[in-house]
Amino acid sequence: MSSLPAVAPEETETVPPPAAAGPLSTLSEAERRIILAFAEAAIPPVRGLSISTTHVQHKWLSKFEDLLARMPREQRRGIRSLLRLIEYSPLIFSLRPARFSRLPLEERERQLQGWEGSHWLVRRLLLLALKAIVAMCYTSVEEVAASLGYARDCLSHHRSDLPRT
Amino acid sequence: MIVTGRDIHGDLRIETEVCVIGSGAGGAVMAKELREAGLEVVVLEEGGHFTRADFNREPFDMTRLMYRDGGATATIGFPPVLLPLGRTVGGSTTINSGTCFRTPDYVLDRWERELGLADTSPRTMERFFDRVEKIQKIGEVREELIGRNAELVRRGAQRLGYSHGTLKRNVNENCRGCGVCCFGCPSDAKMGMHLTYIPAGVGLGMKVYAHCRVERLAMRDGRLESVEGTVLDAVTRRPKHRLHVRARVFVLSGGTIMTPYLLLRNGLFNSSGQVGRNLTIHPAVRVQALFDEDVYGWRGVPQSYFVDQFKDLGIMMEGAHGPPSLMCTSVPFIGRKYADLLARIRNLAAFGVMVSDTTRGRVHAWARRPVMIYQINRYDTDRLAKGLLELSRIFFAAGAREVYPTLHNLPILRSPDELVKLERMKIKRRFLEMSAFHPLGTCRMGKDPRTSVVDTYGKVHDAKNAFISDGSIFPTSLGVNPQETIMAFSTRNAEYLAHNFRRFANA
Repeated sequence: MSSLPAVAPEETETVPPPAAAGPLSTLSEAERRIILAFAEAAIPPVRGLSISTTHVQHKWLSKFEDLLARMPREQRRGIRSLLRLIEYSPLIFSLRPARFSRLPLEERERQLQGWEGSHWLVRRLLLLALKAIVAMCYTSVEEVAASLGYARDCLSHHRSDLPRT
Repeated sequence: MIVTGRDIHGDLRIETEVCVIGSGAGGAVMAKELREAGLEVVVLEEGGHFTRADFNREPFDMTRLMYRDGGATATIGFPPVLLPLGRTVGGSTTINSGTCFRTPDYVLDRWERELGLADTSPRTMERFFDRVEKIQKIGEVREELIGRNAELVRRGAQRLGYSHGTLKRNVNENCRGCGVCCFGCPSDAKMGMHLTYIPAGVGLGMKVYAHCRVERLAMRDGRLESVEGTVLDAVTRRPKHRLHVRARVFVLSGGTIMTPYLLLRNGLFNSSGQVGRNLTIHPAVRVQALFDEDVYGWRGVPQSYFVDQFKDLGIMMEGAHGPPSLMCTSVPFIGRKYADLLARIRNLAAFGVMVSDTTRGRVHAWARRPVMIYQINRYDTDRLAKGLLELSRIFFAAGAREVYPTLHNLPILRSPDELVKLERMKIKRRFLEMSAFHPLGTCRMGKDPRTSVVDTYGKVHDAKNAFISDGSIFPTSLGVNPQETIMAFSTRNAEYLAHNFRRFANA
């Protein structure tokens, strides 16, 4: 007889269809406040580039929420927990009774530098992960990419008959 | 015929002579070669089917489309290692850099002489490499496409007298150096499986089913009789219909992570206890350097050049650049320093160092997901540190103003004199930020069923009619990019299977 081992069903990824691709409200108001405060401190405005400009902020935040919605469940939970950890990090790591998102920009930057210089590998990696996600969402906004010099062009155009996608 | 989840409107039941699970460098080659030999072949692929029309040159979008877990797959260990995996028709060949190397002779010799693997000598393998190179149009990157990033490294290597050269890739004449090889080639120039072996096989009557995930393997009398799984919705990837495939011979080609995962989940083919063990990944680190001149590292072929001065130590340096939304993830610092460097990203050059690892990791099937444990050893850490040092030296020789060796405790070097600091430093593994792109070895081949999962032709020791054809069968690290090795061995194993088909089908 054929023997089928009893195997639990595979974990299903929760991927919202693109039809619902408007802003996916995967973040609570508090979480949105924390990620915005984090982004501003991680990538402060320089040379005309600002992650806090309203229309840029709207675009990268939409990308961030969409990315979060498409992550496997445990990764999504991980990001949410990380946001909470960052919010309470002044208390946890500096014994300062304040929330990260309510600190002034310079103070937030100092807090993140504390994470970056930490001898605790996990703390550094958590920072690196969130920084990478935010930076990726930010720099994939078309006008930001263009201001960085990325025009989705190619080195050689000798085959100009190929349509640009 | 390529059928996707979009085209499937009910439970799918298939009977065929050969069922290949996975459509990457191992599966696609095996499937097409078997079809060419006259066998009826069906390919099942968990990912979707994407073409040039879907490739928008934006890493952020493409990683979510064609990478498992949006490109966030990583090993567990101190430190963890980012290990992106493809999940699309064509597997990782659709989203890799296109770099091709023949298996180094010393690796093949070792497999034959020390591990007793028959028919793996360089001489035996030559005609399979020749065949792959012809189909894949493998050749050196054209000079006008190597990009400024590679030119700078070449300048540094020349000044130091280091051995260096242009890489070989599987591209046709359409390559325009768009810099997004890892996110779907917008010129249909990179010869991924989705453009070569799969259309060739389909043209001969092979059938490919995308969005079909295999979950259960059913055995009877020592034979793999059928597989069951799920047809996924093409858009949401939610389960849509059931899948049931009966075949006379099965070929598992899900890749080094997913093949052992499938076997471990089903508790099969593991009498040796080797399934999932012996994982090697070619751990890699990146060095970035700031130049006064514009580099625009994303213009041109990102991985067009190599420095192999230290190949005897198992150290290989290769181009590692890309668009800003990729590079921004590895730019060092946080806050104002980070933003400042990001604004000058067009002046940043980047190159990678990978080592042929002696560390052995393991794939587990835990909590309904593959979990990779990999704890890099001291020897491999030291060689990565050596690579960081030498690559930093090359960048300074090329005229870099600052070098960033991606090290926690030494994030920036401002002059060649500061290389001494790096040289004297005892670099701990937790100071490294690593990634890896070449998982291998988790269903190793060998002649002894007690210590290996498949024989020298990829036939599973524990089943009469099952083969494995992907990177998981290689018993040691290669030290070079593995796709050509996988393709050549799949060609060889397909020839063996086709020649002996009746024996295995009727066993």
